Amino acid sequence: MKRRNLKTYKLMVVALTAATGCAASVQTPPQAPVVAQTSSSTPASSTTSEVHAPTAVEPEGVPESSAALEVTPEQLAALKVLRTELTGPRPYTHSSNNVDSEVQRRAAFSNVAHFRPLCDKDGYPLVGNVQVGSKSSEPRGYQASVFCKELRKKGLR
Amino acid sequence: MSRLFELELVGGPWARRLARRRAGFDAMPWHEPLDMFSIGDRENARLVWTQSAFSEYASAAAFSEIASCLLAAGAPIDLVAAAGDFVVDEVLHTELFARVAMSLGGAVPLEVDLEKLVRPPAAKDPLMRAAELLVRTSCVGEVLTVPILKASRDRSRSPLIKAVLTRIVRDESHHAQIGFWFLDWAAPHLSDTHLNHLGNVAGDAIHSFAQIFAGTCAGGTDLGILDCAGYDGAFASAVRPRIVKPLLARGIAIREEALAGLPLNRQTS
Repeated sequence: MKRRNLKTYKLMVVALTAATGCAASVQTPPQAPVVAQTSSSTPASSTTSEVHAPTAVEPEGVPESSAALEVTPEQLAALKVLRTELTGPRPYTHSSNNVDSEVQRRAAFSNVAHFRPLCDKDGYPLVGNVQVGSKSSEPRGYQASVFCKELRKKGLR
Repeated sequence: MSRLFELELVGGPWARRLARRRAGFDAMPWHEPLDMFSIGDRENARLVWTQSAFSEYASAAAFSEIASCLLAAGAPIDLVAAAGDFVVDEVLHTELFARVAMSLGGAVPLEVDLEKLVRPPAAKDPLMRAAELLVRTSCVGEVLTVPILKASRDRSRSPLIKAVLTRIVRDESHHAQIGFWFLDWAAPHLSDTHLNHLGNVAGDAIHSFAQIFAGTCAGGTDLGILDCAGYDGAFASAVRPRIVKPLLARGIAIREEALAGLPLNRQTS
């Protein structure tokens, strides 16, 4: 079988609006994705059409509106580092670089307001899907309450 | 290893395989106007639906493990096939919730460990490994999911959320049954020690939800997020009649301490 240069399509990406946990400011959300469509009428051909790959909020994606949230350069850089870990060479190799990359990864996470799923006492996700209606959890690494205070100072709420 | 929870597709023949199972997905109102919902509700909903996508992803991993254990245990092959099929169901549910999160503005940064999706069974014996996973995943997890998703669907004002939840609830109802069918098949091989252990497994799984009731409510029923009263009522309506009682009928008793901290006196109105 010939090797393929595969292109994947983004189904779900992080939007770093940083409004989560605060009363959100007005923002233009990323375009909703169109999942790869397949045509059943021509099964013999490669019929998967191009997907409008949605992008996360990158620097150029942050709206110019005065009500927009200011996402710091450090946060955007951290998100890029985290995403590189996903799309770059697989991080699952056992090499001496793992310690350094893990340190870098933890530093990046500490700069991005983020969440963790609800887990049991040993860190395994709760069974089933009972997140709907779940009582909200505070973002880790960058407390939402601190971030909201900063927004209020800047008159962005 | 931690990473952000994001998803991708490769398409081609691998998408075509799923075309039949995905029938109706693209016809859902993905572009419904969001102006009627408050920004605060939309932001809360991004979090909840991103987390829901991850829950479904973890459920896919759980049913994958279950299928392997059922094979090792020599379980009836149609039960094995069903468990494998449920992996596909859960992957498709992941897609649906992911698309909901994107339609609301994108996923929130959710730090996950994909190497730690399923609590490994403590038992060594294949039959008991299957039993542990099924009690935890199906008899507890999926049984709790159904009334909560139904309540969310009924309270939501969003046609998209209603359509997505209707589709998902249809599948989850089957997922909630397989555990009890397995227990009925395995019954002749389960000793009192096994049943006692399974009672602890079920009790621990239920008790792990107690942390939810210590938090504040996110609200936002318009977008499928239940308020406290709705959530607690849906939860309470499932625990005793649909988990504790059916397991007890099969000789699996859940200790009362496991139910501490849960709002079991509230019923869905």
